[in-house]
Amino acid sequence: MKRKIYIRFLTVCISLLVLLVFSAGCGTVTDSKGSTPAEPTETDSKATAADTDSGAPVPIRWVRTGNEQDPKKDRILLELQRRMNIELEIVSIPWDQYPNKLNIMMASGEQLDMANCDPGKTLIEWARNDIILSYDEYLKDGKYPYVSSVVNSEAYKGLKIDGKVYFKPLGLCPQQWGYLIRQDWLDNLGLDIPTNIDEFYEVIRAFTYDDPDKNNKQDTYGLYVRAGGDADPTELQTFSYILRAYAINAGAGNWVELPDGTVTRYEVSDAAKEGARFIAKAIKEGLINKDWISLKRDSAQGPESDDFAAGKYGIAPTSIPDVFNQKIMSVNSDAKLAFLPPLNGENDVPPNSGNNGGYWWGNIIPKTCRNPEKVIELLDYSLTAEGRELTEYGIQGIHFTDYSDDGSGGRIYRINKAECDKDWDTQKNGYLYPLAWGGFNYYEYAYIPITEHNFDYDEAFKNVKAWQPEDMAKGQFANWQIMNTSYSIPSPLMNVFDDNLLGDEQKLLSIFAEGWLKSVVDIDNFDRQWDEMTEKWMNAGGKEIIEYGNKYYKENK
Amino acid sequence: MLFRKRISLASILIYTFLTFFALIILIPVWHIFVISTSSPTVYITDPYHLIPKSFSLAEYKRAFHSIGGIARALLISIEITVLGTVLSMFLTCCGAYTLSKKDLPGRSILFRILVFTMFFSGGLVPFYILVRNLKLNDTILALTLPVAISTYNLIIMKNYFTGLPVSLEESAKIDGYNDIQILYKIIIPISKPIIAAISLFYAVGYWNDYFMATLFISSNNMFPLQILLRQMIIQNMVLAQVGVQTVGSNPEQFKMACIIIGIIPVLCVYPFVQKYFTKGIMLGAVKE
Repeated sequence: MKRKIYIRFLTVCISLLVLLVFSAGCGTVTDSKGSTPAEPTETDSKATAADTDSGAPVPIRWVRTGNEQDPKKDRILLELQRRMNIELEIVSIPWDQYPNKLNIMMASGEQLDMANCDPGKTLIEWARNDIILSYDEYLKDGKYPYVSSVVNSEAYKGLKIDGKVYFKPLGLCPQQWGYLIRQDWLDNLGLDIPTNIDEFYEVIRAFTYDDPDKNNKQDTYGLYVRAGGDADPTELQTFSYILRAYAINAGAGNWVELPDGTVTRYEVSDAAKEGARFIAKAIKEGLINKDWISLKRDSAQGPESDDFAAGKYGIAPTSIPDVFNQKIMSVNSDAKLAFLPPLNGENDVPPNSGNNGGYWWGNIIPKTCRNPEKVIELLDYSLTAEGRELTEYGIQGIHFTDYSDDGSGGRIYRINKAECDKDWDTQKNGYLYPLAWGGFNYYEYAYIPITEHNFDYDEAFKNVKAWQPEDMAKGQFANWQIMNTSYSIPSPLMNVFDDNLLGDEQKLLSIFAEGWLKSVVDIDNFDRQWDEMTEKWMNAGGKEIIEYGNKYYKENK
Repeated sequence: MLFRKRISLASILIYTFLTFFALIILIPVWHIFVISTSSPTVYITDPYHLIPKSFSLAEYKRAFHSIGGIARALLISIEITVLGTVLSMFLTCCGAYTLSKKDLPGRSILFRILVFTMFFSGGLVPFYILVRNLKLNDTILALTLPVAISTYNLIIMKNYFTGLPVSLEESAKIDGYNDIQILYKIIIPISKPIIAAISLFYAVGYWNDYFMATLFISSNNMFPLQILLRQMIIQNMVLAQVGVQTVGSNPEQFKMACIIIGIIPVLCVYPFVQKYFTKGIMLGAVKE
């Protein structure tokens, strides 16, 4: 009997405990820093009104990744806060966990004023579930012309969700990757910089078999590839160079325009097949390093630049040419590097360097934002020349002394290195303030002249001006990004995020990647392997995607 | 006779195997150390050498000056490890001792509820909301309190306590001790091996934890060492990918310097507590 009473008592206690835990988990907190419900509470509304009325700084809680700066100590962020009359709090999330944590924060209704994220299916869900705010109603009266010009530009029109703007892209150089070639090797072999795919073949063959470094050893490769662990082989910059000679902006997920005006996905296009056939031939003839499929690619280009400096290969894709140059010079002062432009392609494909859509990430405004107008005002300011200068090179008189014209409308900044060293890790970021990338803009060492082009962002984006530190402007590869961008041509349906166009992305990519690899390593059965892949790809939903793509392309051309 | 036994064929084979096995582990660590302290030029020309050809602490200097400094992150990791281990041990000891009492009313229900938590959880979002609503976000408590009790460790400890002679407690009761006095004056002093082993399990778990900190810590100045090192390495990659010049640094050497910094504290402590780890592995393996 006594035992039964104890058990009942215990059951009641446990139930109470469970209830308490639930109430703690599901309850709402109305403080300014912690969680908030989807609808702003009375306390929040009053606080916001009071802040605005009294002229007190408006709090902005911004969640972003890769943040290194402290808004309470960093002189540039302090200045930005002073100019904008805001009080920034930056929620910092490590890179690799960013999408997961942001998803949890959004799902939990945490109070956030601004967030950076990728477009895609998750963003579409947030918009349709009313978790994020549309920019449209705040842009109606023309108060924020810079933001308005960006989000309503032709380049980013596909990013709208159900016709509304939820995402302000961070403008990125459409192609920051380019190619270096060993000019001294070409000189040793009596060759010129290749201009078409046949000349390119001759060069990589000579780099492999004709001892370009004249050390009497066969220790060099025509092409050097690291494909280990990569889901999409066409994403590898070394292969991309070849593939783009057959199609504009070649790569899985992109679209190709056919001579009859229709479009098809790159994966099942003839251009993709011919590009893969060239690579299969190069593999069979030993022009590519034999361990290409097991070597892992390093995003920081560390091993790649080390091997290039060690003279293992003579054509290098890179986004950081000065680092490659410095490394090679440190071990071989006789080495000479040159820029390798894109090839004149087959079947009238123009020289093109690929196109990433002209943005990387974007700013969204969660529904829990306390003052959306202030957030858009901040974004607007960051796109002005003054805002861009502050977030790229800091405060004049402190972080830089002045700047001069580079002769083409760009600027060369004279940096005060000692002061920059105090505010950020200049060894890692160079003399570019860390907020220059991944904050409001991604276009490094550059300025997008929106005002100068009468708020026509598409026009401004074609006329980007280089803003570089003095040291960089003197380098052999100054204007690297702008040079590569000049060859950048977008493929059809770029930046369009529509469920019907995306399909089961992972499955389709996996079918393509597997079939592509089988084809290139088995050239004797190339056609059979390729046909099997395309059939499988079409049956996995590809056919419907292409049909929808053509309909969409026709309607929105 | 004794001499002959020492150099028997079996001994030679065993020692050869063990030496070989030790080298498999030691050589990569040594290689990482050598490369992290090499000059960039030497590394580029010969990336696989084991005998140091140059010496430079440039990458270590850089690591210690990055994102708020490693020293602070190291201190935070130590705080988390110490606080978490103490808290966990206190709660685990109390819980295990209570559950080891055969006459505890509802003991089997409580035990089943505990075991239930090993297989099912409330989900990540409710967990996040719970911690946030308790206002633990961005504090060390967020990394320790929600994971203070490991059911697995609690069961091991409970089994150990259950195996202790009942007569010990009976004699203490005759001397006038209550349950709390028995736990702290009798049971814990005679359970040092298991306490050391379980403490070590907890401490290693807290030291290596990465996920909890990514979930609940939002300020750079609160990041523990594991997050900071990973952030430094990954961010370095992203910077290069987007085209920011990382002049004067070598990402590979930087990564290796970060790895050495991350393992030094563990290498310093581990030899002194290794024996408890061995004992810990044996715990629960034999049921008498």
